[in-house]
Amino acid sequence: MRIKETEKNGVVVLTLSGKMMLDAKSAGLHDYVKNLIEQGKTKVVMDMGKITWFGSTGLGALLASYTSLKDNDGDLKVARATRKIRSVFMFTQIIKVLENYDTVDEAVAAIK
Amino acid sequence: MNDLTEIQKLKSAVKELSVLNDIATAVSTTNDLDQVIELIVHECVNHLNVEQGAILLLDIKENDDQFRTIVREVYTETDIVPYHFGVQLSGWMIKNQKPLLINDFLNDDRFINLADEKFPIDSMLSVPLKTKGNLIGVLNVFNKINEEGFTLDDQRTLSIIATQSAQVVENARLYDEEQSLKKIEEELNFATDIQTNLLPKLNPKIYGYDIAGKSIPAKEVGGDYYDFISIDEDKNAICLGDISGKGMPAAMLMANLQATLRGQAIFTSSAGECLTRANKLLYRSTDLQKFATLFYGILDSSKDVLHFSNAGHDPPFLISVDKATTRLTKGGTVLGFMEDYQFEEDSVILKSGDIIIIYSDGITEAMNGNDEEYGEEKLLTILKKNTLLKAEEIIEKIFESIKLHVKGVPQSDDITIVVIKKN
Repeated sequence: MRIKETEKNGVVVLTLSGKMMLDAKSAGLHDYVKNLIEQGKTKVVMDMGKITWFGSTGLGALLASYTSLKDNDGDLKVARATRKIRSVFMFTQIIKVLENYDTVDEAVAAIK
Repeated sequence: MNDLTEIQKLKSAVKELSVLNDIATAVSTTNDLDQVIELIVHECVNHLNVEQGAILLLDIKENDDQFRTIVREVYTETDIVPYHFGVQLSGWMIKNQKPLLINDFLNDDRFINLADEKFPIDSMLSVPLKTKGNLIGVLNVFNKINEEGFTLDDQRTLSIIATQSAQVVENARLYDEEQSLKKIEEELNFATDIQTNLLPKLNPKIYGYDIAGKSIPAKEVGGDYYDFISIDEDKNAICLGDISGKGMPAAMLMANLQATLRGQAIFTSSAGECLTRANKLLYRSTDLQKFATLFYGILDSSKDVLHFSNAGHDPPFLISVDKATTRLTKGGTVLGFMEDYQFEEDSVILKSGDIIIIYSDGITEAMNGNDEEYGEEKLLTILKKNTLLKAEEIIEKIFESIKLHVKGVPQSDDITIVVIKKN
């Protein structure tokens, strides 16, 4: 999995691509977010449109990132989640706290 | 004069041969790396008439301190080789990979700042240990016990010894590594045994029901699990969970979750309440990245009802005799994500011929060479085709069908199924 960082209206946009599964990089997503928090950047949108495979490690990294950001008065939104990811969000009921938006712009606008 | 040199040459050749023979004979008695090195160093110290000798082995795993000293044979009152000199020598050897002979440290510009009064070495000879062209270590001897110091003949002898020894040392090192790996493997086998013993050994015998479960981990130990817990005469808890990640960390968390649930099951008659409590306990004992999905059901065989709560797990299928399917979704999010979370519960009435299948995502996500998942549809098709079989046979049918789908692609995730069939 690859992470590309850009910024839009004071919100960090992380564009994720590749397989989000059991490897160091996927688990490293949480470290990446913790590093952003240390820099005072606590509003994050994750663009998941280019994720080709989503496993439980990916979900773990996402949940951990969400918790860390919330603990630091920040927020996390997800954009362009694929059907597969949305179904995982649905049956794990994570959709209730981690909203998905059709476009990155909508996610950025929705962040508090 | 000529004859004399010939005789001397022959003598030294015989001496070299005898050293090599001594080493060959000695090392053939052991596979132990430390012993092999000790023997080689001992022979070098003896035959070259020096105060001390040492073999430094290149440690492939560690990059910062590239040599680890395995053994140092000391025949003197002086201190062992100072650490900083050892590092400098290692560096020189990695760079140059050729013999190094120094009889006059005071005037040698390769190693500066060493030749003070406290420095315990006045002469040294160092040769690389190489196998198949790769540097694996350095063989050193220090302080020749005569006035002249080391000669080119000494260098030649030590080089020959090094050539002969390198493969022996390397073999011993490989043997050493193999032994460590074997030990890890043994420990892993123990862990597998422990985990296998945590899973139910027998399928539960509940009047009016046919129930079976099976789990195959992808690695030696896994993060999937299922359990049958007898609560009272009529009630049995049936659960199946999937811990995030694989291997040892997942297996340890799995054991933790199982113990937690077994503890809660007996005191709590509500499935939702049981998960609410288990979630709180799990949240406190895991880091942020770890979580578990779990389906927890309480089967009341006196009323033919299954109360359940689903913590973010792939929703089980309920297939009735008319092949209509329902999914058991009610519950809440994954375990270990939010500390205070109230899990909901639901219940289904079971009629004769009804089948419930609880499974882990390793089943539906079993991938073939074309990156195609096995999927829910295939699973349902197989199920509907085999509703008349026994629970155990249904599980076998599913496993067979997955095997057919993946076409030899190695299993990458744990796969687990529990089938509940109302007679």
